[in-house]
Amino acid sequence: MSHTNGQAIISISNLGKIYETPTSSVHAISDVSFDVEAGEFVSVLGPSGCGKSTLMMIAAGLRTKTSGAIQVNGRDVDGPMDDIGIVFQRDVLLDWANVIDNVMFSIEARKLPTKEYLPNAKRLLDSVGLADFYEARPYELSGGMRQRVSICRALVHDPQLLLMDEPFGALDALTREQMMLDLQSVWLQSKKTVLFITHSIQEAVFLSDRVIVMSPRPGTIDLDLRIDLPRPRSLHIMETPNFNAYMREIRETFEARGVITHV
Amino acid sequence: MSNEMNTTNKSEILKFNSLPKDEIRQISLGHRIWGKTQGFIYPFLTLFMLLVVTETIVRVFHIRNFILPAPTKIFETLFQSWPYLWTNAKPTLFVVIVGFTMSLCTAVPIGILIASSKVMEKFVYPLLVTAQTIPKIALAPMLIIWFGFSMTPKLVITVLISFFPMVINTVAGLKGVPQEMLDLARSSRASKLTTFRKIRWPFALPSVFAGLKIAITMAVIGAIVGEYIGADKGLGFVLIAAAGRLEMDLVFAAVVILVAIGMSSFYTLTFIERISIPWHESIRKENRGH
Repeated sequence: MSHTNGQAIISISNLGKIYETPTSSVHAISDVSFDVEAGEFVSVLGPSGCGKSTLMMIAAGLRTKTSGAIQVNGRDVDGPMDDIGIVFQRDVLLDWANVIDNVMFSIEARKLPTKEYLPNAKRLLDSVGLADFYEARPYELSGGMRQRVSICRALVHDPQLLLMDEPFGALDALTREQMMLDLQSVWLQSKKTVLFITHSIQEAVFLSDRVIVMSPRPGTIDLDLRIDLPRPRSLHIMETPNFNAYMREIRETFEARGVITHV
Repeated sequence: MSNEMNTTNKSEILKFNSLPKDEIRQISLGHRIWGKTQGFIYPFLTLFMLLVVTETIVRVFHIRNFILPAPTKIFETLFQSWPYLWTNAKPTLFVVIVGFTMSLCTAVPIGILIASSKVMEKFVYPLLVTAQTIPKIALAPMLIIWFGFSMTPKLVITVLISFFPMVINTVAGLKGVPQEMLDLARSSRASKLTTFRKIRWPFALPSVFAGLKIAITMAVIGAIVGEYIGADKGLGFVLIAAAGRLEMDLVFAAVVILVAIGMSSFYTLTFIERISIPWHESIRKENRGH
């Protein structure tokens, strides 16, 4: 982690994506440009179907772009890269493997030395309260625990960049708040660069250094908001005027776009 | 009864965090034994009642043996002609096991090939479907001409008849892997082999087993069809010969053995399935006892 602040880990300019189907074409994202700096926690926030997940998938090298340019670590993205960890919407755990093997899948797939990374896997699991569950099967865990395992899997090979696609979307409100705190503490310890996709304004403001607000399809950037709140943030920060001012600004952006309408 | 089981089950799950692993296993073992006994008692009761009804009808209406033999008569024949039946069961059993194994060893690899290559899918899949629609019995006379009265035509028919469900289910299983899992593999830069070993194959296994379980029952049919068309031994031969002599009690005795062969091979596979994929929803449900 010798990267100094100010260096762009992700650099996106005029990115566009059109999905072609035999009968129609869907303009998913259009003319999106922004940079993510080393160590930054950036959320991309938008209504469902605005192409924010597409954006992440392109950054991950799992989908192709239609136009524009995207660079990760100074290299054009033309396929999955090594130095990235991904947390998907659903936890995508393998039922036939226990918790530790699920985490170690990242290592095996990348053909990294298993012995060297096993302590790392255990340390990560311990840090999210799963110390007693190394041998448990995914189906024995709750939704929150499962998503914790998948976060450990994304971090175990110590990537510089973490991409998260609505990772708490399927969790209940209480679990979600706990996960926000846990993610913050993991992030504060590791200082990874994070691109976090979400549709929750609260989640975005709480977690991020910067919130990028996208318009409905075709997704473009409506607002790029810096969140200046002290860290570590406790849940009570959500009751402060500053926090609510940020929430209001984002909500007003959505209202101006007609994403949220009042009758 | 089932209500009672449900409550124990829930409290078992609630206690999961506090209980040591051994205790959890003991509870579920108790459940499993109860579940199994229960599973056996009901079908046997049904069968027993059917036999009693048949026996009564045969005795009351004096139905003659060559039309419908009484169950007691069938069992009598089963014991008296046991050496003869067992001698003839052995070649049938051989054909079932060897034929099924040969079929398995070709069907699953072909399924894997079809699922992993578009070209193979285009070229081979339609041919397989065509082959499946041919009534196997129509091929039988030709097979006899080619291979004579040896084991070979029986094996060929058994392989042909049990082949299709295994291929179809292997392909379906491998193709059903969710896109997210493949994305996970690709983003972790997993090789094709690793992706297959760690994700695609384990994911497909439950479906493969479903195919095997259909195929094993088909294999028994295949062996009998093979013996019907030309054999001097085997249970298929016994069926033809006994029916020709109107010894219906012997026919039914042979059928009882065939059912036993079919069921024991089916449950052997079920047992292997339980060991191989304990993580699968269907197995977990059974282990929970409902």
